[in-house]
Amino acid sequence: MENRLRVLRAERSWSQQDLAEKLEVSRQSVNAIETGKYDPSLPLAFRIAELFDRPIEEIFVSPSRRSSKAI
Amino acid sequence: MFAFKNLCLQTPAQRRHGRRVLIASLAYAAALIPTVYVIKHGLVTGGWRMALALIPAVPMVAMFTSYARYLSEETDEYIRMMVVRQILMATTVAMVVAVVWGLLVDLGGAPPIATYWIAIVWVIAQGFSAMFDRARG
Repeated sequence: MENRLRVLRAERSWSQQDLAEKLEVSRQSVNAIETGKYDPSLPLAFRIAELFDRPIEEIFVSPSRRSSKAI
Repeated sequence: MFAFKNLCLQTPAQRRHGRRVLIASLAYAAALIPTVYVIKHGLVTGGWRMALALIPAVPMVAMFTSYARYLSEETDEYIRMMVVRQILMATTVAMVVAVVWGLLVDLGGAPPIATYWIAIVWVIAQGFSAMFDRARG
C-alpha cells in the first residue's frame, strides 16, 4: 500500500529510528511500511495518523481508489 | 558486540527469547555430556536409563516452548509476522525432510536416523530463513 510516511517524516527531520521510537516499533517496521512492503494493522495505522495529526486517508493511499484513478 | 546484538535481536521480546534460547542451549550441553558418558559406560540400566535419557530433552522442550512464548510477547507486528513466516518455512522444510527420509528408510533401504534430527533441521531452516530475511532488508 502506498503511503506518505517518508514525506511526513522528512518534513519533521525525523530519522526512521526517531519515528520507530515514537511509534514503539522497530526501525525495520518503519522501513517496511515506508517502502510498501508491509501494510500496518488498523491500530498501528491509527497510531501513525495520530502522531502526524492527520486522517489515515491522508497518509495511506487506498488501493481501490488508486486503481480506479488509474482506470 | 552491542551493535551485533541490536542488529540481530531487534526488539525486547527477541532479546528475551534469545536469552532463553542461550540458557536452554547451555543447559542442554551441560546435561548431554554427563548423560552420554553415564549411558555409554553402562552405569545405569532399565527404567533409570530411560529417565536419564530424557534429561537433555528438558532444555530442548524449554527452547521450543520459548518460541511460543516469544510470539505472544512480541508487540512489533511486522517483526512478529516475519518470525511467523520463518517458522512456517522451517516447519515446511522439516516436514518435507521427515517425510522424504521416512520413505527412504521404509522403502528405499536408507539407514534410519534419530527423530531429534527433525528438530535440528527445523532450527537450521529457521536460522537460514531469518538470515535470508535480514539480507533482503
